[in-house]
Formats: sequence, C-alpha cells, structure tokens
Amino acid sequence: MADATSITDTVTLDAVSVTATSTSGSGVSSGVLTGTTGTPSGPEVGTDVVYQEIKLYIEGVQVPFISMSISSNIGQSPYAAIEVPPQAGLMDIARYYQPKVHVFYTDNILGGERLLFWGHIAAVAYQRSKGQGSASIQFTCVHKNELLKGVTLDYTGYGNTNSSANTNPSDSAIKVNSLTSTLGIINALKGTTGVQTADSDKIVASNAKLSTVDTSLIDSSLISFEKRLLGMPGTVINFWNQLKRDGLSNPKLNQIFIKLYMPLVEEGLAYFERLTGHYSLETQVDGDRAEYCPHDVPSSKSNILIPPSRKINSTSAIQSAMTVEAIQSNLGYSGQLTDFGTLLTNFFYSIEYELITLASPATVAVDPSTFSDPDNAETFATVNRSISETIIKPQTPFYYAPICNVVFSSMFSSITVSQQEDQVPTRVSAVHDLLPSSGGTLSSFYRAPHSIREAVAIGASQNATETSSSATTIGLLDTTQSSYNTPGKYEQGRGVIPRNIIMPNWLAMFVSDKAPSVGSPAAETWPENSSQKYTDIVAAHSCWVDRYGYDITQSDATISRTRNAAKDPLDPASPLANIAPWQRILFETVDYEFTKQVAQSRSGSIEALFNPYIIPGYPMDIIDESPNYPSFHAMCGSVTHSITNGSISTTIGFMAATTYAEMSNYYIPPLHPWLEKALNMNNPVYSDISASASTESAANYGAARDTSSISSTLINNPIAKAAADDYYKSVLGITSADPSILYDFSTGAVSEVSRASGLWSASSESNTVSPNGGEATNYKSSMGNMRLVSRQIETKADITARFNIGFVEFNETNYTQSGASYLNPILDTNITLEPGASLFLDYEESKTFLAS
Amino acid sequence: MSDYSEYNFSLDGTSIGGLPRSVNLPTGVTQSGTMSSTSKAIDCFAGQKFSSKLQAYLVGYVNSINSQYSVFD
Repeated sequence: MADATSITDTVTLDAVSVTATSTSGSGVSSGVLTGTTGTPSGPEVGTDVVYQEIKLYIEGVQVPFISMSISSNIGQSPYAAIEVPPQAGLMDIARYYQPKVHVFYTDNILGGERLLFWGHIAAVAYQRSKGQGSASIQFTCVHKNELLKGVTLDYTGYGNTNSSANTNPSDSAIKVNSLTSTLGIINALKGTTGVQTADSDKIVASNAKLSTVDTSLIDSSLISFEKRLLGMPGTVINFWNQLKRDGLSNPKLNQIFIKLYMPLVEEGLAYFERLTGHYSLETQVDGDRAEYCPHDVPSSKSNILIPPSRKINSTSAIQSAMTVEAIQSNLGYSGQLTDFGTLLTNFFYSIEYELITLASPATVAVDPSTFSDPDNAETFATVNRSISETIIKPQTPFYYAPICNVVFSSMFSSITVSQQEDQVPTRVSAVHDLLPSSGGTLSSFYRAPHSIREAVAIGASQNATETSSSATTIGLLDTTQSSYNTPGKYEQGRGVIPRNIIMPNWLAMFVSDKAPSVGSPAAETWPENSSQKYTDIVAAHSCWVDRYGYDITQSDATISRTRNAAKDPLDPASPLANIAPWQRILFETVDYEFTKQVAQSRSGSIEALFNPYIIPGYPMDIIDESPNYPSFHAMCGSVTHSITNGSISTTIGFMAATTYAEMSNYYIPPLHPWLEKALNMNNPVYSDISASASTESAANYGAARDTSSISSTLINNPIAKAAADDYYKSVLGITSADPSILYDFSTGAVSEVSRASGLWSASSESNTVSPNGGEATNYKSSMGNMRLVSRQIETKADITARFNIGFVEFNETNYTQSGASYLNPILDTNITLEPGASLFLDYEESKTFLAS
Repeated sequence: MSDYSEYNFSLDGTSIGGLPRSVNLPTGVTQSGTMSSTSKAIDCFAGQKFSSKLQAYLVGYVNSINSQYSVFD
C-alpha cells in the first residue's frame, strides 16, 4: 500500500504544465534544425571501459527495461523487441492504440542523447514462469514509417467518381482513379520541378483549378528541402501530390485520407522533410531527363526522369518508353487493394532503386550542396540542418563504403564468413520465348557475363563459316540466339552452371510495336564528337577494352596481353556494337543480374561493439590488423543491437563479401554504365594526350583510345573516391572509405588512418598515451576506432524542438516524494466502452469530427 | 482501517477491473513542463502527439515498479 501521506491532492491533467510551444529559427521553415547537437568528448578517451547509457521511452515517459533488441535489415523497416517488468494493465496500453516508442543512447564520441529507434508498439506478449520465478511483458515495435501502409489505395471501380455508385467498397483510405496508369506514372516521373507559388498551384480543396494542378510542384513548406527532392526522390512527392489532388477533388468520398492520413504523413511523421536522395547523383539524373510522348496519350510531351538502369549513352526515346512500361507492369494494381508504402517499394524495385529507412537517422546540412564538418561541434551547431531518415538510392552492391560502415580490428570480437561457391552461376541468360532473335528464330537470349557472349559469338562465327561460302562478320546480336553449346572461357575450369531469367511478357509486344529497328535514324542519336558526353563514351569504352579487349595468353611461367580490336563491337554500350537501343538496355540489365548473383554468394556476420553508426543497405569494410587474416569488402545487410542490463553489443550481417586480396585481382562486377559514368569510375590516362576527339572519323566514332593507365575499380582511383565522398556527404554527413588507404595492397598489411573534418587520411598520429596511461591513438583503441567511424545522428533535443513533444525523465527531480492522485475519467463506472476505444484517448463524436 | 476513499476507489461492485483506479503523479513530473497537453485521439494519431492519459498511467507504472513500496494494485 502506498504511503497515504505522500498523496496530498488530486489533480486533473488540464492542470499539469505541459511542453511549451517551441519556435523554430527565424527565416527557416519548419523541419530545419539549428543549435548544438552535443559536446564531443576529448581527443583522448583513456581506457576502453565505457558505460553505455540507453534510455527507453514509451509515449514519452522513460521506462525501465529488462532487455531490448533493435534490428535493421535491407528491404525492411527497422523493428524492435522490448522486454519490461510486468504489471497488471500494462498489456492494455497497446489495445486499440499504437503507443510511441523512442530509444536513445548517449553518444560517448560526439556527445548528446541520440536516436536509436523510433516506432510504435505493434504487438504485446506476456510470459510468466512460476518455476523460474520470472515474468515479463514484451512489446514488439515497428518503425513509425510503417504507418504509411495505412494509406490504403483502392483501384476497384472506374467511371464517374461523382456517382454515388462509385463509392469506396473496400473502406480504403483513398479511392484512386489513375495513379498507376500511363499518365499517372509519367506524372510521377516528372519528379519535382519547383515550388508552388500561385494560388492556382496549391493542392487544396478551395482551389478551383485543383483538377489540373501541376503535381511536380512541391508545397512551399518544403522549400528548404527542394534540393534534396531532386531526381528520383521527387517521384515520391509527385505520387503523394497526385493522391492529394484526387482526394481533395472528391472530399466527401475520401475523408479517411483527408482527415487522418494527410496530416499524419505530412506533419505527424514529417515524412517528406526527412526524405532525401544522393544529391550529387540525383542532380545528374534530374538534369538528364528525356522526352516522352506515348502515342496513345493525346497530350504534350513530358520531360521525365530516366533511372540509371534504363539509361544508355545515345539519345533514344526507348529509354523513357521502357522505363514507363517496366514500372507499369510492376505496379499494375487494377482491381486490387494496395497501400502507399508498398507502392513506393515496388516502384523503386522496378527501376533498380531502393528505399532504405535509417533507425538512427543522420543529421546533415539542409543544403545538400554544402558540407559541414561533423567533427567541429561549434560550426556544426551554426548550420541549418535536416534529417536523413528515408533515403532513395540506386542499388549499388559493389561501391565505396561510407566511413561509418567500416569495422576496424578493435571493434569486433568474432567474424564468420561462408562461401556458397556452387551457387554462383557461370552464366546468366535472360530468356524470352516470343522475342525473335536476329537470326529470325523465335525466342532470344541475352547472356552475361562478357566472356560468355564472346564464346557464343565465336561459336556462331564457326557455325556461319561452315554453312557459308564467304567469311561472315559476327557481332553482339548473334549472341542472342543459339549458344551453339559453346563453353565460356572460365567455364573451362569449372563446368557450366547456368541460370535463366524469364523476361516479362510485355517486352515482346513493346519491341514489335514501338522499337525502331537497328540502324534506323529514329532509333538513337549520338552526341557530337566535341561534347563531354562523347568524351565519357570514349572513356567508358576505353575502360571496357582494358577489361575485355585483349587476348590473354597464359602458361606456367608467363602471362601476356595482346590487343584484339575484333572484340570491340562486343561492348553493348558502344556505338560500335550496332544494336538497337532497347537491346543495349537488355544487355546492361542482364550484366547487372549477373552482378547480383555474384553478390549473393558469400555472406557472413560479425559480433561487434555497440555501434550505432553502421547502416545496412550500404557497402562496408572489415579490417583485420593481422596480415595473417583476411580483410573484407562487403555489403551490409543487417544490424541488430542487443541490450541487457549486463551487456550491449551489435551483430552485423553482410553479403557479397570479397577479400581485399581478391579486390586487387578482380575488376568489381559492373555497375550500370551510366552509374559508372555519373560516379566517375572510369578514369583512363591516354597515351597520346594530343589526339583530339574531333579528328576521329565517323567510322571510328566511339573507338577506344590507347591508354597508359586505367583506373576503373575502387583501388587507387582518386577521382572516383572524390565522387564517392560527394555521394555520401549530402546524405550521411561523412565521406567514403578508400580501400587504398586502409590497406597496403603491395604488402598485404593494413594501414593506420586518422580523421579530421570527417575525412580520413594515412595516419599522422604519433603513438600517444593519455594522462591515465590509456591508449590515445584513435586507430589503436576500441573507442578511438569508434571516433574514426562516427557520424552525426539525430538528437533528442532536435526531436523535441521539431515535433513539440517532451520526454519525462526518470530522475529524482521528477519522481518526487510528493504527488497527487489522478483518476482517468474513462474509468468512471458509468461508462463502458465499445471494443475499439482506447482507455487513453479522448474521442470526438463522429458528427463533430467530420464537420471539423 | 482506511476506506481508500482518498484513492477514489469504487467499492460498490460496479468498478471495472484490470487497471489501478488511480495513479500517483509525482509533483516533479506534473510541474516539469514535459507532459503532453492532449489526449485527443486525432492529435495522438494524425499529429503523433503523446496521450497525456497514457503518460499519467506510465508514470504511475514507473513509480510503482521502482518504488520501495509494493506495487500499487
């Protein structure tokens, strides 16, 4: 029984002092943050004995916990499992409501309390073991952005939306008329083009011109984030604007969407303020639009975004057409029910992008074209900041890792790697039964990797020579028909392990209906010799020739390379290939499919220190200081933090692992050619720098030039590394990890690094000792390693300021001896509740709510 | 023997079981300025605000499981 003398009075919640209304900085829009994020600890951390404080808040109240695990996986939203001491009635807090959950950690490197997880309770479990004397309640929590799946979209029923017969039979959030139609997708692919200024631009019910608003204009409240929404991230805004336009055009039929989900997504979740893409890449995507004018849509031409996976070096209408067709075939929800979150996931999957949600969002400069030093707390506090929580990015399994994704030797305790080599195919074929090949036979095959195409081309040549009296020139097109049972070069030592992909049905109809034939002036046009685009084409082809344009002669004692120009037409991206533009896209697609097959083969996991900085969905590096053990470059697939009162650790799952030794011996599996260009991967140094491109003849258009050296991998490629720095700065606020400075590829020894202003360099730190005798060289201690990989994560203070919510701390100041009793009026005995009503919410009568 | 009236218990047999009848809100919490100002359903869902009623219950929960006294039941 509680001490009666401590309860002096009763209290109502109206009398409780509440969180003061916060004001954002002058001149900046809501969602832009300013002020200090925390005080970093000094350059010396002394010992590696650290008390890691973790705080759990349920509905803003700090709650003790027994254990907790927080997981983030590629392709999924983060989720958490939390175990708390039980109490009768505690299970009921999640009945008919989603209590919010926040988990913060104290950053021992950069200072401040920072976000580890933000979600809500989705499930409750209670367990009690009388024999063991244990009892607990476990909450399963999902990330707050899972609420997007509540924006259900109903495509059933067409016709006059004003008809009373065309109401909402599925009780979805919004009835959608044309979101996944050709027109809807074309609109979405316009991305964002500016800000709503005139009243006629605004997507509000009172706008008389609402039905014709330009959905590519963003709301003025997002003006500070305009740059972050360029390129593919803009398609998210555009889709949303289309939903708003459709919903507000018929407000009486879409009240669920208008009253519940519009304010939830725009303000409650602040979803678009926390959305971003990689600015350095997306500005290039945004600036390289293509015209699209489908013959069945009697409207003016639109300039639409083309994703990197559908881009080719030439200018061709096929890029835009195939983009729209591919998306529409993936999003064909006619007659179905789906939701906004699933729509976005499927949309980006169809164009080889991905949408990743960070459990620990990054704090970055709101202007993505600027970079604020994450290691200087004073300057970082003065910069206008935004949050990167949802990132729209292309799939890049083999690329530079951000420095936050590097695991140094002192950061992990164990590692396991398994290698399913027999699962890696030797060849991948994209097959279509109805797509005729160049030989006139039905069914065609697009094969990867290059060594297979080369072998099949030779097989076709041998077959043609036998059946023809004259010599026959064989090219890339001839690799699309029979393989002539020809083994590829590297299948000589491994046998043949094929894998087939079935191409979509729409492709055959599309090709026959819309694609000009090879050599037709309508098929594609090429840039002028004097243009930068032409320079990029030559550079890419020169790098291709360096990989595949030589005959390699091997014996026990020697290896030699002899240039073989006859192979040059086998580059699908080159003008020399003489194939249709849609076929270029198919070759690039199947090359990337082979890349993905290789990526799946080698996986592993690490048991490491508690590491809030590492992000699944990006490449990572694992450095072992001993030359006797391999270091790895991989793709981070999952991160799980396990927290109890006696331990805290992080388990990291990864795939597509290659050893550093392997990296020095192999080209990385190719990215899409346009991505390689946009990320400055291809850097040849030409032998004859005086040669001018404009003097090349038309017959040699796009031909490779002689090179003295080539940098086209992750190693010793400073231009590509600088592009990778820009790639990560705008989104994560840190730079990229260069394997060349982490590892000496000539000796096999790891190299020490130091950090300044968010950038690594070969270490200049002399061995130092802190006053208490601890290790002060960052590279050599666990906490020093953590400092090397740290990044600015969203703080509790920033969340409090932006969302105007307060957190009730569990401390002596708050939990005083004195208090007052409070009785929830819902517990009045005269009121019983209908299932669906939460005990902790006040509801308006429907008539009042709908009239508001 | 106390009649528990100061806790606003209802002892006439019509009370709803399962939850404490009232919770103790420490003065420090109520005066800290950190509690939510609303329990309106639309604010808590669409606005993603905290429910002050749920906060009150959780403060009572924290107080009871951390208190030197027995669980308030």
